[in-house]
Amino acid sequence: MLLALAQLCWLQLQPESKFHQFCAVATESATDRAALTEQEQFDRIARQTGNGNVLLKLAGYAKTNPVVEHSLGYFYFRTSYALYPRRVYAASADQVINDGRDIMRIGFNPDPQWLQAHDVHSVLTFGNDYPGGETPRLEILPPFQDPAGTPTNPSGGN
Amino acid sequence: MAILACCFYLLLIVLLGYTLLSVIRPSNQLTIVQLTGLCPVVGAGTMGLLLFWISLMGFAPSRQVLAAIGVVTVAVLVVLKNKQRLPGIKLVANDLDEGDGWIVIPVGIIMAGMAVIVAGAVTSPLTEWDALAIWAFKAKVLVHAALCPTPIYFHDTSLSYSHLDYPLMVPFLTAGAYAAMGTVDDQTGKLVSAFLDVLLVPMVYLGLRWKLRRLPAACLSAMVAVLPMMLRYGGTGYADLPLAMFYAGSVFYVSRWIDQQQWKDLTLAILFSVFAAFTKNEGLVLSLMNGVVILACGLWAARRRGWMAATMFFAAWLAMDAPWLIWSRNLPHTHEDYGSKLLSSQLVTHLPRLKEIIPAMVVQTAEFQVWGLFWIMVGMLALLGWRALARPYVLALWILLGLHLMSYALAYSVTPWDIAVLMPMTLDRLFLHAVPAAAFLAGWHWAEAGVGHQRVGKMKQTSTVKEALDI
Repeated sequence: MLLALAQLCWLQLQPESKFHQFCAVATESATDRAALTEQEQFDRIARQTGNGNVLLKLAGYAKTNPVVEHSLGYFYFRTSYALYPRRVYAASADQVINDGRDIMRIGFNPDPQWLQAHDVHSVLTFGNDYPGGETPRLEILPPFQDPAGTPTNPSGGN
Repeated sequence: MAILACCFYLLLIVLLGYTLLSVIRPSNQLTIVQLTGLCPVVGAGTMGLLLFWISLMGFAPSRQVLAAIGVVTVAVLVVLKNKQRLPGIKLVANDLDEGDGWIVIPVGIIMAGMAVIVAGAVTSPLTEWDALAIWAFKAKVLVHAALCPTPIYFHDTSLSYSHLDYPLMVPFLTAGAYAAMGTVDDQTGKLVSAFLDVLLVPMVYLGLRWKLRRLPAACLSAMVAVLPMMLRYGGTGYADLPLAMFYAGSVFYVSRWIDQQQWKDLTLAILFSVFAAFTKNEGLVLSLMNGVVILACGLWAARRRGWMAATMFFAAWLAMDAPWLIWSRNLPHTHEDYGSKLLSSQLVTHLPRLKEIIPAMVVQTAEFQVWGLFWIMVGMLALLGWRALARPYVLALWILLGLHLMSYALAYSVTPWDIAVLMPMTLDRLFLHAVPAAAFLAGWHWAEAGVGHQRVGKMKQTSTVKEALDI
C-alpha cells in the first residue's frame, strides 16, 4: 500500500502531472500570461457583439471541411455560454445541434425577416477561403428598417 | 468581494449540513472529519435539492432565497439547541494508537492534493468542454430564470449539445454561488466545484475509518487524494467527482445499514442516494441499485426490518426525486438517450459489443499514468483479506461495484458514438465514480486481514473512546 502511495506521489512529480502544470502556470512570465488563449479570444469576440442576438455563419471551406468541426463546435459552445441570456443562432430552435458537424450540415442562412424577428444585431462569420484561417470575424448589422424607413429596435428572441 | 460572498455561501452549506445531521444524529459527537467532510456533503446535497424545489415554485436562486434558507437553518439550530439535541464537536482525539503520529505524512499529502485542486480551480478560467457546455451553461440558465415556467433553453434543441435533460444538482449549487456573489463570475464560481470535489477524500476516510485504524485509513485516503484522475478533474467544473462523493456516502451507509441495521444509517443512505440521482443520470441508476441491494439483503436475511427498510428506501427516494422526474419527463433527449436504449431490445442486439468493451475496461485499471497502482492494490488487498467476503456488508458492496461496472459496460454497448473513440475519452471519468467503493473494499478487506483493524479491546475501555470512534 505504501508502495502504491509512493508511486502516486512520484507520478505527481513527473513533468506532465497536474501538479507540475499548476507550478508552471504559477511561475509563468507576464508575457506568457498576456498571450490570449483560444477561449479568451472567443470570449473577447463575444463581448464585442454589443446588444441583441448573434447569427453564426459559415464561410468558405468551413462550410464543408470536416477538419474544422472540432473548433467550430467549441466556438459555438463557448460563445453560446458567454453570451447567454442572449443567443447565438446556428440553427432554428427545433433543429438539433450536438457538435460542429451538425452546424455544417444545417448551414443555417435565415432571411432578414427572421433575423429581425429574433433580434439578431450581429453576425459572426466562421472560416474564410484560406486554409487554416477559421478565425471568426464579427459584423455588426445595420439597424433594421421598418416599412416607413425608420430604424427599429426589435425585441424578439430570448 | 465576490470570493467573500462565495465563501459565505459555502459556510451556509456547512451550516445546513450540520443542522440536518443534528436532526439525524449519526453520532453523539462529530469528529473533525465529520464536521469538515460529512456536514458539507450533506449540506451541499440538501442545498442543491432546496434550490431546485424553490425554483420550481418560481423563485430563481438569489440572495433573498439564500437568506431565507439561512434564517430557517438558524431557527432550526436554535430549537435543537434549546432541546439539547445538537451533537458536540470533538476536535481533539484522545484515543490515539501507537504510530498514529505518522499520520501527518498522509494528511500532508492529502492537503497538498487538495491545495492543487483548489488553487487550480480559482486561478484558471473555465475551459473544459463538458464543464462549460453542460454544467456551467445550465448554472447560468438557472440563475437567470426560475424553472416555473420552464425556461426556453430546456426545449431548444439547437442547444442539444448541452444535454438539456441532465440532472441539475451541480448547476444549482453553482447558481447558488452566482446568486450569493450577485454576478455570474465563473472563475470564482469554480470554487464551488473545488469545494465539492475535495470532499470526496473525507467521505472516503469516513468509510475506511469505520473498520480501519487512523493511519491506514489516512494512507488509503491519501492515495485517493493524489490519484492523477482526481487532480485532473478536480475543480474543473465536471459533475463526476460530486457524483463520486455522493455515491461514496450512499454505499457507505448502505453497507453500515446492512451490518448494523440502524435507522439513522438507512436515512443517510437514502439521502445520499437521492443526491447522487440528482447529480448525474448514472447516479439515478446507481441509487436504484442501492435500493435493490437493500431489498435483496432483507430478503436473504428474511427479516421484516429488511422489507421495511427497502420499502422506506424506495418511498423516500421517490418522494424526493419525484419533482425532478416529473418536471424533466418531457425534456428533449439527445441521440444518446441511454435510459430508453437500455430498456429496449437494443440491449440484447448490442450485447456482442461487450467483447470489445470489457477488455478495454480491464486494461483501464492497469493504466499506470492514470491510476498508478490503485486498482492493482485493491485486488491484492481483497485477496489478502478474502475472509471479509463472509461479511454481508462486504459482499453487498462487491455486488454494488459489479452492478455499477456492468451498467457502464451496457451503456457503452448501446452508445450511438464510435466506442473506439468514446471509451478512451470517457472511461477514466466513469471509473472515477467507482473509486470510493473500491477504496472501501480495499480497506475493509485489509481490516479483515488483521493489518489495519481497530483494536476492539482498547475501543471498549471507556465510553469516551467509543464515542470518538463512532463515525
